[in-house]
Amino acid sequence: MRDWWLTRFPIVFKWIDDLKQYRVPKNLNVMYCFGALAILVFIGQWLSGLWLCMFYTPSVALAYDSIQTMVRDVSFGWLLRNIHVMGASAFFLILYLHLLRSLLYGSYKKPRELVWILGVLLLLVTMFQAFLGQTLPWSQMSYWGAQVLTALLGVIPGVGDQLVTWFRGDFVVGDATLHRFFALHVVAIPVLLVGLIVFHVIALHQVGANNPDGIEVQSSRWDEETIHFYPDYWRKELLTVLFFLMIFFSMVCFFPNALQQSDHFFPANSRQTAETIQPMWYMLPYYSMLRAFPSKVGGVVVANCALLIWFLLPWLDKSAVRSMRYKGIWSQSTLIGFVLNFIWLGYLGSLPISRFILVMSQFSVLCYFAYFVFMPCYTRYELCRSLPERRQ
Amino acid sequence: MKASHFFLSVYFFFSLFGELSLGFAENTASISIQANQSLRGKQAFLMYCHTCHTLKYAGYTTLNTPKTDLIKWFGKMPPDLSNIASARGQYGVKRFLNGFYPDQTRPFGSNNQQFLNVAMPNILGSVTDEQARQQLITDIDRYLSEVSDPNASFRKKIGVAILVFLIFFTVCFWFAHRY
Repeated sequence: MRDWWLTRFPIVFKWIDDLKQYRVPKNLNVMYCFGALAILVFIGQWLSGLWLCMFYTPSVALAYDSIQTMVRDVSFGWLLRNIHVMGASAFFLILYLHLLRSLLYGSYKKPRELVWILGVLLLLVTMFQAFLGQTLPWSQMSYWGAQVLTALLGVIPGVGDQLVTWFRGDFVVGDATLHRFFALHVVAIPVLLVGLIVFHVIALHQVGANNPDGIEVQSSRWDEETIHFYPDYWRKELLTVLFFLMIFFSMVCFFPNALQQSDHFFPANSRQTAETIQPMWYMLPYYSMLRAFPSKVGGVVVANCALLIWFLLPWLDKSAVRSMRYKGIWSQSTLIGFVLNFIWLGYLGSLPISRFILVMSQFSVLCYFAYFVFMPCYTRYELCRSLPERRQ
Repeated sequence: MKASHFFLSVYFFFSLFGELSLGFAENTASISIQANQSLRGKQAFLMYCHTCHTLKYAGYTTLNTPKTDLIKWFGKMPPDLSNIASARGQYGVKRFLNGFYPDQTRPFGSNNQQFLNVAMPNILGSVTDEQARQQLITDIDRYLSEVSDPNASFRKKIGVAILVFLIFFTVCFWFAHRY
């Protein structure tokens, strides 16, 4: 049997052998579970999305009705839809915690820069995918959110208006836009995401996983200091998967509308502006940056720079040590400040605009960029703790 | 017998028990009370609200009042109420219906605390008996919640079953993992 496959499709054995041989440091803690959870949620989104596609009609006249029919009349249609909508929020919570792990333990430093770059690319593509998916129900929030965000392309001087028309497929957001957003959301971006995930994992397996101490396992002590990924570490991850599923299904079954706004429940009406145009919670920090500057160009440039600066992180961090456990007081306090500021910026994005909110948002944006811009300075010159000889 | 085998069999027995108990969850006595409340709510909606508001996903798509008249009186078409209970949250509809107060600056003489400068007049203000009015509001609120989210009770039962399953599977897996 094995020989039959070996002569015809040997690469399967290479993958299985890689997985069997892959080992991870034995001191990985709970912050390391989010990669597997992300893959789990991605597969969940793909499966629930597949079934949703069987009932959804991507046209302006029928989209909202088709979803209502699905959640009311189709057996367990409500479950599929809630899994998909809540899954998007779960996906971003997991991705942000996954990112936090990398910031905490220096998983982006040499030789893992490519893993990091692919990861940031995954985050950006997932944000785009979430925006596209949000447009599909054709609710008030869908329509007006699409209107606002596609109009942002118009800030590019010269070709701005043509680009907006090209992207929308029409002069205004309408049927053409919905159709192409459906095609992108269902076909193009999932394929891109699968490809990026595969490359991300391949790049990771090439360099091996980091660990909370940030100290590489010495090759002489490889067998004592690492455990098999399968079945030992995989069993640990399965427990976290079970806890995640408990929380996830509690939200899906008991609080499905917790993260929805009123405008998600009204069908799109181009003649009536939505009550509050606001993206979902995971995009609020960047939306807040967009709003913080009165100039449209300024807001777009700042928000885009804030997303793109993540790519530079491996080269901004000049510290001699990887993990926050051994970094100096500057790195530790600025990371805490950054995380709190990010959450605060998100909260400001949910409030209606006023002079006071504008000023606070601008200050928060400054703090956000300060974390990155001053990083080469404080990481190089701060006093770090010396690394232990033996890993704990 | 290995400990893992014991815990796995405990899990299987309990999940079977859990599935069977779901079947007994529907209390036959409570069905008729629920049906009665639902009927009252539907009657209240049809009597007071259906003049101006459609309820598309419960089947009430056409109004007797012409659309042009509604737009002339209120400035815009009164919204369809199929998802209003989900849109306004658990207490939104009740707070709205209870929130009318007299305001002579408005065209119909009333304004609303929940929805400032609303175009809707205080329809239930014509009901003078306060107890009957509160009963109407409760019935309408319950009916609109039911129309907004018809699968709510089933969803919560499924949620409990899922949680019970997951908790027991986790416990059994934890012990199987340890030994």
